[in-house]
Amino acid sequence: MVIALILLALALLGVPLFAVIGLGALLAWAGIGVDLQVIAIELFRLAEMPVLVAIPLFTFAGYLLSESGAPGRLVRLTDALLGWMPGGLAFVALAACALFTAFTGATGVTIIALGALLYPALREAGYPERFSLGLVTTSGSLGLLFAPSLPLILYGVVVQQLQVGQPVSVDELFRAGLVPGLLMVVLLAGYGLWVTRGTVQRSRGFDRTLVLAAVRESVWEIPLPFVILGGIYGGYFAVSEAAAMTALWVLAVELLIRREVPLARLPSVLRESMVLVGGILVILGLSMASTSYLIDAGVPQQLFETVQGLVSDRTTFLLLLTIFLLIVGTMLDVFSATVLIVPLVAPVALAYGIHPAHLGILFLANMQLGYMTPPVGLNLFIAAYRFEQPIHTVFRAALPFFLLLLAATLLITFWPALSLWLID
Amino acid sequence: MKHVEDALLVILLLALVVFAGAQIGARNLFDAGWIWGEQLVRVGVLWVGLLGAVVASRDDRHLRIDVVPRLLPPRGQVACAVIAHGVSAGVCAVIAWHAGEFVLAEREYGAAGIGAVSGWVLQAVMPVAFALMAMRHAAHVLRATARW
Repeated sequence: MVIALILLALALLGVPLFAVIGLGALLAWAGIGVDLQVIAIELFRLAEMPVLVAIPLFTFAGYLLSESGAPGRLVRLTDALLGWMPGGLAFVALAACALFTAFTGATGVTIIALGALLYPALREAGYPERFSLGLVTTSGSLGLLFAPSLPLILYGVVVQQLQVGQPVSVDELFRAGLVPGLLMVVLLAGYGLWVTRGTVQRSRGFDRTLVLAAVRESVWEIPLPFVILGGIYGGYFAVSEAAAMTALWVLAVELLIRREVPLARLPSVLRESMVLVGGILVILGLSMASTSYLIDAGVPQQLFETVQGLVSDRTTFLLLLTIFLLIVGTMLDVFSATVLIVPLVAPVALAYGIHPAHLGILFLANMQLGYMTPPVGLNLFIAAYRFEQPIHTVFRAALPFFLLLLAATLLITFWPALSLWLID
Repeated sequence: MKHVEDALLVILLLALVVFAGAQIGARNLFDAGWIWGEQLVRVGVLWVGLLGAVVASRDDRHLRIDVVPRLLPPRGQVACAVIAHGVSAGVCAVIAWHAGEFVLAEREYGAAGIGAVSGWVLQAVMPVAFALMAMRHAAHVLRATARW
């Protein structure tokens, strides 16, 4: 208990989370007299999980795409396909951002790569400034629930390590996220339609030549979502296979055909992407050491018994879980939260009869809200920085979007069928 | 040193991308993957991840909660930085030491590797990476104290 409080204090003082977790694991294992080589043994388990390769490969592909002209082409393509509908541009922005975030893993890259294109376009089309700012801010984490989002993969890996309850695969998680993710996009698109009713004119009708031109322009990127989404959702290939093909495809197209990223810049793009991956994997590796201590010491069991003594029914538990996760989300980024919180929460939640895929989706939906809440909402900071607005202005602009996503999160939490629809 | 780390990381990642892609292509198109190919890809993930972590230590870009330090006056921030990097350096050094012992034991024991490469060579990245991380964080401590 004392150790836990010291670790918490260190984390709050800004000690990197991998070091906090590593210190916890070292102290715990040393405390019961186990040789500390156990840390290396646990760490080497990173090399024993086939699905893990998807993390560096998808991150690499996402970073390379965002450095190329792909964001612009994506906006033009979605605009040609959807822009003619009422409320079209807002819908374009949401759809493009969701797709892009799914690829780049909600690290704020979307706001920088797409927001800069969409914000001026929204303003020009007559959308109110506050609405436009709120929309691009929100877009930084919308899409977290769609394949091949990194947090979904990470959640799958962490839950598989726990070996509690029924097993859940990353493919199943990708299917589970589809309907809840679409619910969020549709809710926000509906809001866009309502806000701009009567004020924003429809600029044009459906234009076939525009669509053809956009399709021709994006011909090298269009196969990607089909390979990934079709392949994984359709069960044709495993996640790691889809990741390998995506990474190789993006690299080949970028190096041999498009050549939009100068060769001299390529190494720094690669390095940037791996700084994130390294940060995630080292936390994951060390937390496997601390988690296996916790399991060894029976902590999840004790935790469950304590919680069950206080909360008898599932609904109350889910409500308390939501409040807890919202607080966690204000402090931790989605990767650290997944690795740290899921091993504690999952055994308890599963014992209440919650499906692990449903838990994953509601967990990430809550974490997505954390991107928009002070004090560490990443989206707020990036949008404030990118669009040169004070942080409280950005927060006020994002508030209606936050409330809608909160409603969606509650719906997802208390209506498990939304997540489990495509699984069973 | 910096360039060696960066170059190694970039080369390893490119090798991982090309090899993982070729491996899956071979398996699906010709039904003839290599047995050791998948093992190599998995170890590659560990190597790329740990080298990425070394670069993250060097650039001070590890995931953290930085609410409290941001609210503090300059000297408080320096104190937080010293604690943060001091703890990190210590933890990394201890892990590097024990990982080193583990690798030596595996070498003694002759643990299985991939093909002609022994197991301990593949595992050697762990002590090396954590030792480098410990050095980087120690350097950050020195840099922070200079700002006091």
